[in-house]
Formats: sequence, C-alpha cells, structure tokens
Amino acid sequence: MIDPADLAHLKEIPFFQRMSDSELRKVSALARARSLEADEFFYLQGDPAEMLFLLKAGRVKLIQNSADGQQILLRMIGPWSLFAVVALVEGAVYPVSAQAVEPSLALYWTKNALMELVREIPGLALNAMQMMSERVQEYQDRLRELATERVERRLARALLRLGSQAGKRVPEGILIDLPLSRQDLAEMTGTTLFTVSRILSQWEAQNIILTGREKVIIRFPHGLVRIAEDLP
Amino acid sequence: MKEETPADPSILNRSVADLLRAWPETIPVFLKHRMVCVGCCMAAFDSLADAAENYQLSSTQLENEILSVVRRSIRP
Repeated sequence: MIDPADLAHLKEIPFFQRMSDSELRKVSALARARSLEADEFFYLQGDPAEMLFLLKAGRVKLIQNSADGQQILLRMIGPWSLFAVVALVEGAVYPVSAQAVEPSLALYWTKNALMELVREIPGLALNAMQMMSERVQEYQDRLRELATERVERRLARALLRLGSQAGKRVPEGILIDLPLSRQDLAEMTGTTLFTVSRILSQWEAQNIILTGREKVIIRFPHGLVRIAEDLP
Repeated sequence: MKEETPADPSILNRSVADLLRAWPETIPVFLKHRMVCVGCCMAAFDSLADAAENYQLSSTQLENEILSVVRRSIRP
C-alpha cells in the first residue's frame, strides 16, 4: 500500500499516466515496499524477473557482468524512477543486477499483481510499451555511439544524459546528483579509467566541468553539447 | 474570439525547454540561427540569454524574435 502523499508522485510517472484516481488506488493497494542497505541487491542478473520496482528513496545502479567477470554500469536510477519493467514479460529473466548505492527504499509489484493490474487497466500495457521503446532507443543510441564515435563525444553524451536524468541546479552549474566515479564513467562509455581521467582533466582545465570525489558538476553545458554534437 | 494579448516579457525568464514546450511555434527561430536547442537535454537548464551567449548572438535580438512569435500565438 502506498502512502497517500505518494500518489501525487505516482501520477507524474509516465508508466502511471492517464489513469483515474480509482485505478491509481488499485495500483497503490497492490504495492509492497522493500528497503535495502548500501551495496545490497534488489535482484541479480539471471534471476527470474518476478517484480517491477519503483525507487522511492536512495540510488540504485543497474550493472551487467560479462562472462569474463567484467562489470559494466548501464544506468543509474534515482527516486521516482521505475526499473525492471522486464517483469511484465512472461518467462523473462533480469538482464542486469540492481544494486543499492546508498540506503534505498523501493515499492514493488509482483508479477501476479502486475498481471491483475494490466487486465483491469489495459492502458498500463501501452504505457509499459512506451517506456520499453524509450529504453531501447536510448540503448540503440549508445550502441551507435560506441561503434562510431570518438571517446570524447561518448563521454560528453554520457554526462549530458546523466545531467538531464539527475541534474540539479547549484551555484557552480549543474550537479549530477549521483555518486559517480571515473570508473563508472569508463564503464558507461566503453573506455578505460585512464582515458576518462585524461579527458575529464582536460575539460576541467577548460572550465567545462568541475569534478570532486565521485562528483561531477557541469559548469558550461553548451561546452559539452558542442563536443557531443561535434559543433564548430 | 479570444483576444490576443502581448506576451509578458517575463516569459523570457523561463528555460529554453519550457519556452519550446509552451510555444513550439518558436522552433523555427532556433533553427534559423543554427542552434541545437530543439531536443537538447540541457535546454532545461539554460535561459534564452544563456543560449544567445552560447551562439554569440545578441540576446536582445533573440528575445525580441521569440517574443514576436509568442505574441502572434494566442496560447498562454
């Protein structure tokens, strides 16, 4: 059951859009909550996809392990974002692991609850398709970037994407409000820690960004846009 | 018929993303100046004056062009 104060947040989430108050109450009645300490996992890659999560507080990273043990950061999740939409698909397994970066609280719906909801509220299935297609589009863009673009452009795009997903205005610029290490950025852009450090230092000297411990502030957004879009 | 009112210049304090959302009619102005604000994920953080500075344009001229398009539109 969701706190009535949270219903307003629910309405803002694309997955729950165009739903009546009574439908939202039904969604809320079937929700459960799970809270985790930092470094614990909501689910592991390869587990049967049995639950859809909505992060209420904290930060979660979605990571994928390759066969040779390498770990890749695919996405950072902030409050009021859904993850594990794959739970709507019959017989699916989680393609990634979801690990709490800090103490986190998530609402979740079991597969049975989801199936019940989709049968009663068919609009939910359309909203889920919309969400999945946006994710596919984003990953297609990233695949194209990996295959065709210079590392500088990939890194600029990754920072812009993170800025739009988790950016917060601060006096120095736009703070990417996530604990973000250089290793995370290297994993997201398919390059080495050394290369990321070299490029970030260069951008810092040009006053495009400001970095701190696990922190990036975009000081001059257009500077990054110019690199990402190869503008003159 | 709803009467057209002059756009309040305070709309210029809104972010570029807000302006584009409220008045998509202004898109051609950005395109004319070869600005990539349309669809840019940083448009939510920049004002029109920031955008003008980024492209070394006169902010007064850009703001006037946007206001004149907004004034021709009857939507809020």
